[in-house]
Amino acid sequence: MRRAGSIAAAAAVGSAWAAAPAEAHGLVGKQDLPIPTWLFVWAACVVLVASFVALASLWPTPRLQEPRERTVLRLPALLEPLCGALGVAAFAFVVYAGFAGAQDARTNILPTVVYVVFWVGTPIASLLLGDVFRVFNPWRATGRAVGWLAKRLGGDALPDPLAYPARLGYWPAALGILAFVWIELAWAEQDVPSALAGAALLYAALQLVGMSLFGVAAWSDRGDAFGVYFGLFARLSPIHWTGGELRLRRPLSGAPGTPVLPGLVALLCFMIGTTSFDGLTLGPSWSSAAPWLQDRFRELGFDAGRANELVFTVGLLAGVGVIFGFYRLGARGMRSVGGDRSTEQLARLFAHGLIPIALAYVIAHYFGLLVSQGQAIGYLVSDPLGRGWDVFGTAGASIDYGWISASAIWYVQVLALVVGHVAGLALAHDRALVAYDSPRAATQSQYWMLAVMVGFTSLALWLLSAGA
Amino acid sequence: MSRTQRFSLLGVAAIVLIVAFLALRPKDSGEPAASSNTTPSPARTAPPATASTAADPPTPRPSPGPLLVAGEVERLRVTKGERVRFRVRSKDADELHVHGYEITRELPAGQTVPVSFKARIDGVFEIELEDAGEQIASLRVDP
Repeated sequence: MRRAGSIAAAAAVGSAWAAAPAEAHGLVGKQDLPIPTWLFVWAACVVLVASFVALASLWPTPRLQEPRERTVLRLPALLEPLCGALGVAAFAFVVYAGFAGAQDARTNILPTVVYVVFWVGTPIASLLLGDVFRVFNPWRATGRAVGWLAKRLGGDALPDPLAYPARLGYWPAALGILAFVWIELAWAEQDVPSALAGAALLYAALQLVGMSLFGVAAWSDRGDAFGVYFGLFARLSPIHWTGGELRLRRPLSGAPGTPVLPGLVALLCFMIGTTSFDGLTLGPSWSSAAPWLQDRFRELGFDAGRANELVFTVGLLAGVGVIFGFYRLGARGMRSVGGDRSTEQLARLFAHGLIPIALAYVIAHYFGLLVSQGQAIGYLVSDPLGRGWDVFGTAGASIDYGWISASAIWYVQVLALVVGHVAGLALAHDRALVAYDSPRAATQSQYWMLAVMVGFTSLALWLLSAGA
Repeated sequence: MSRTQRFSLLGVAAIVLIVAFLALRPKDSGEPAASSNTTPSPARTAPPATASTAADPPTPRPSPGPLLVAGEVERLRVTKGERVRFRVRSKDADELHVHGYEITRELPAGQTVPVSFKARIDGVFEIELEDAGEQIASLRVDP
């Protein structure tokens, strides 16, 4: 709604709006400065040099395909139900706050929890600490609790769940992520706490249906959008929680184990494409194109708010389409090297190489939001409904926007992109060594992957610079 | 390729990149020497929003800065440490809100209210009429 006003204003004055920000949403108090030209140039050089060094010097035999893990800790059996209960309680509370609290994005805790802590914080936590979301996942915990109860009460009378259809793969998760990003970026009610709470409940209901049809494990590993999304990032982590154990492994070595299922490529392209689009909306190219597109929709008879939603929907899908098309092109190129795999099979086989790139996009675009708006949790927990409470005595606190300088944020952004790029190359290289019979074919196939990844990383840099 | 060759390649690459970093980085950190040409100049720049750099000839009365009104999004740009100055006028009674700086001013209907503060946080901030929910300016503070 806020944004609808901005675009209408921009349409009215045309060029005066040249680079004014179109807010991601009402939460954003401060936007990152674009990275300066010299840093852009240098970072691009780093990406190129790193790529060629990687091509010349990466290991000649596969190293990441067979994960080697060692157990460092056994976890008490009670930990998982306990964390699950915490997750359910937290979910129930923030949804309640969304319905019952002040209908304002800044004073109600729900929008900050959803868009900052959950959406940006969890991917970074997954990288550092492993798949922490899995144990707190409120939907999975509910499903498991219900399953456990039903078993105790009904014994063996329960019918077995249906077999999860192989063709479905990751598609439900991919579409779930797309729906979430649409809510965040395009929906007119993106900031309205009660609307967000309603969407969260709807999502939870869909998960329960999915789990009851196909079983808790099958659905939460493939169909639950957030479980899958955070789980992919956790595959990069050196920490692996499994079967009541805490295990350590080489960073990245969890990624090659990603199941090669239908929808995996779409899911990763949704992740990269939507983040790219969000970055693009901050720049002058979008702010000159958006009002024009909005006018076209208004000519078709939509009101301003609806036209605005449609403009963002079109942009979102275009962003996803460009990323998807570019990746497919790379996979097609790899096919020319030889072997009997189709473009589609190759695209899936190498898709896990995009996980670090997707995470780098998330960090590059949202790190500034996390360190500024993330502080808001400090006072929101004291007054979650925006009713003037002060439960923990922190309600009077405010966000210190100055504690991290613009240049520190630039370095974090560039570092994330460069490291993500190299990690992606390493994963693709390692997969090529097992996918092709001769080292020569493996290397040749990686020229194509290299081009794809240099493309993605350059796009990210360009989106961060003033050029976009 | 042998282990030694691999490490020397990595070493050479690292040295090249560090030298490039030192060469490219603006000489005085804190001085936005390079950042001033990062953005293409906008089609219509705001009148200077500041009047207190040391290099300026001494001016007894600083310019009051541009007038911000609803329906237009003015672009203000200063360097950290300088003063931001502008005036605001709103048809209806409203409240001015400078995001990030969390500065608010009551705006009586139809009156011109001067605003001035020191830019101590870098970043891009929205300046809006809070009640109307309308952005009237974008404040960019370079480091």
